[in-house]
Amino acid sequence: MIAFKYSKTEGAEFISHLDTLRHLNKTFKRAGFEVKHSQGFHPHMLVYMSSPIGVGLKSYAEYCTVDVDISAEQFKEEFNRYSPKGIKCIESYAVEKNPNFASVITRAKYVISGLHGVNAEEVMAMQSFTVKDKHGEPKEVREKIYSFTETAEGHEVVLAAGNNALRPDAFVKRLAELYGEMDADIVKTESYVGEGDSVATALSDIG
Amino acid sequence: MDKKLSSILKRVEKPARYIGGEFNEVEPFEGAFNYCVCFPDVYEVGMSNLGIKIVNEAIMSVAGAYADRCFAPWPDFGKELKEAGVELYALGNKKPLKTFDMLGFSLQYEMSYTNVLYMLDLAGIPLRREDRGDSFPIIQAGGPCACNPEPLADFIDIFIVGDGEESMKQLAELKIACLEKQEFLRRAAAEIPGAYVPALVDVKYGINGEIEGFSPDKRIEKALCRDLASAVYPKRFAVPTIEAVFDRGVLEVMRGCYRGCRFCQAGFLYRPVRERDAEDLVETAKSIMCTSGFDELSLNSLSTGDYSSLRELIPALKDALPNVNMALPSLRLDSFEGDFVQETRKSSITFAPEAGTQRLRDVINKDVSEEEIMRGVRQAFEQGYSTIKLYFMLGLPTETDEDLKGIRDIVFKIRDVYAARPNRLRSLKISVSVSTFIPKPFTPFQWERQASEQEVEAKIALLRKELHLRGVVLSWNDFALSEMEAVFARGDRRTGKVIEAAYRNGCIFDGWTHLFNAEKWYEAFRQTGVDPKAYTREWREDEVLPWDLIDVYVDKKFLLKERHAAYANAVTGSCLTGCKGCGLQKVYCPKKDELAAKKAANCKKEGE
Ligand code: SF4
Repeated sequence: MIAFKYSKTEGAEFISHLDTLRHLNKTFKRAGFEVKHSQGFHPHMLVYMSSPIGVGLKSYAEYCTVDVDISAEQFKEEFNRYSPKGIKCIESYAVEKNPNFASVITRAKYVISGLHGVNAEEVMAMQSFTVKDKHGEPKEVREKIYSFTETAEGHEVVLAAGNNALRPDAFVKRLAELYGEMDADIVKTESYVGEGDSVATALSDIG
Repeated sequence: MDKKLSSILKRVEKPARYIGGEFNEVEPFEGAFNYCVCFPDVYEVGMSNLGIKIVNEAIMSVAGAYADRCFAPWPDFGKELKEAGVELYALGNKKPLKTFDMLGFSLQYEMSYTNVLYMLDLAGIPLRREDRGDSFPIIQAGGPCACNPEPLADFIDIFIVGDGEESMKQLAELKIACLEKQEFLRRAAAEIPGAYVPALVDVKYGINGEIEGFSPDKRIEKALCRDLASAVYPKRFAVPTIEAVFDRGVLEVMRGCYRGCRFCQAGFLYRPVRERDAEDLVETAKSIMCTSGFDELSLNSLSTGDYSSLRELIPALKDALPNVNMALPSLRLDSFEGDFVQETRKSSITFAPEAGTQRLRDVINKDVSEEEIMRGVRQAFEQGYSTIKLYFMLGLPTETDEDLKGIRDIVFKIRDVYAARPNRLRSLKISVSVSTFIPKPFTPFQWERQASEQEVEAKIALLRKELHLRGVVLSWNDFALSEMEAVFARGDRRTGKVIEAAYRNGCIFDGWTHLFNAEKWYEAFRQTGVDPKAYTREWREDEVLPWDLIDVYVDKKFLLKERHAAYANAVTGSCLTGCKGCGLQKVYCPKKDELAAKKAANCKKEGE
């Protein structure tokens, strides 16, 4: 089995989760990978993606596992030869079993540029931070913001990801309400497991 | 990416329609000639079209030429582009359409004409050719609807009528050699087969408004690719960023159709039939499927069942591509459907008898008997289908209530066949779709009138009564839509201003039933003083027709003979039973040569 980290940039950030899966499948086919299929009436490739990322959000930290017998190096090389623009393998690991990225990934780091006038320290000092849910009701999410700092490139924030995620675009929307309209650009740069451990830790755990 | 654009993309539906970067698409470069094919419908539809792939392949085969692509923005995106002042751009190099040397519109259906104007407008290009001067790209158009170019003659600088393989190449070469627009147009009209430059042709009208003739009085012969084997064909298909209507590879097994159904424009337009070599097809299929990663391969043509090497081709394809599903979309129900259709997992199976009685099927030269239909249905049931779709036309020449009742008879017979089956796990569902007959140029029915709204309503009322049965669903299309289609299929140059007025009234994506706005269209007719009835009426056989300036090599005399045969309920049959002398025999027809050779061989045998 191969677990790999890949990007969604250069326009590919606008491709939906489902279409991304289609592109991964087609890439594997073009590369000639012999991916194992599920049993049953409509067999499909055994491909396991991390949780969906919002359409339009660039990422350098998407994860996926695919059931194929091939070396990690060869996988990365071949994948990148046959994958569409912006969907590129960054790291690959041979693993014994499916790390189940969709449930083990709990946090993600985003670099956000264009947050003019936003004071990260002030935000971190807030007791309460609310975003609107899909019914327009405010929802308390302060505990889902793990860190928020200012860097040379802009701002950096670590938010809850996975099942209990705080969407970075919702976070920015709330900042805009507090600090005034701004045209922010969000890039996901890292995913974490557990209390903020690197994904590599999770992979070494399962050998 | 432009900041304005990326913020728009975050707000619109399916933004991946507008990002390009498809796998297998060529890397953009600045060419000596930069062409952008424009498909006047949404991305998912356009990406499934084979014609534009062939055109771009032809352009790219010219040294120094670059071909890009653009599709009509869905209304939400179009509106945002306009409001933000972002000009429509090509998907490959992301440059405004305005910066290209030539834009080429693909005209697949009449109801996409407002979208041609919509795309020009979003690109910041004046709609009418006389307003463009020399500084804008040359606006070109091709595709099946270019056979009657007149409704768009005010907007398009140059049409290419017929096959694009060679003519588009020649067009690119000529443009590289000759940069000045007016000179290019003049030379193209003189030198390139199928090239029609409306600015160089005047239409003369008589006092009654009928066309008197064209000046100069010279017919434009369609471009005809005689040797498809050595012509360009896309061997690597761009993989759509979002799921296209048909997410699959396409193999054109042959061009043209032997049948000669009298209502079918494609059947006459694409004459003569040119079959491709089976071995070549297998090689092409291997390349398409391995480089794309598609799961399905479609064997396309107007009548794939008539492809003479089908029995060799299918097993060879299965051998070469064991994991690929084969789709045979146009297989006629009288060809050997049973052997292959089970390959694909479809929930329903479609039959198109087109007319309810044998008499009317004879009239339209649809050479299929009720027995054959029932045989097809029986096979479908044996394969486990329990949903049958039936297609019929409404308002065909000579049609009576008896013919409509014939539709009910077919439905009843299908029910009987199903009822007689031993194990019926599901209940039978039959969906009957009727569409209003549209008289099309270059068919034997090009002179016919279209049924009026009252007539069509009465026919549908009758069908609703006859087909008010359990498990049977009847559907029909909007009359106004069929009327518009008839007007612009047979329209002359004067109908162009209706299209422009309709666009100004807000009509776009008219082929999408839920976006079609009949009121705005009728308003456009009133604003321009054009009477749609003038185009849906019966035309006299001695009248000059708007498309008479185009020559698709099918003799008008032959079409007339076919029309008269229709009124005599006489079947002409397909070219496979012998050459009918349609006109192509004087130009180029492989089948006719083959038939003649066979006959000669037989005569020789008898003589010995
Ligand atoms: S020339 Fe004869 S065989 Fe060829 S298309 Fe015409 S009728 Fe058919």
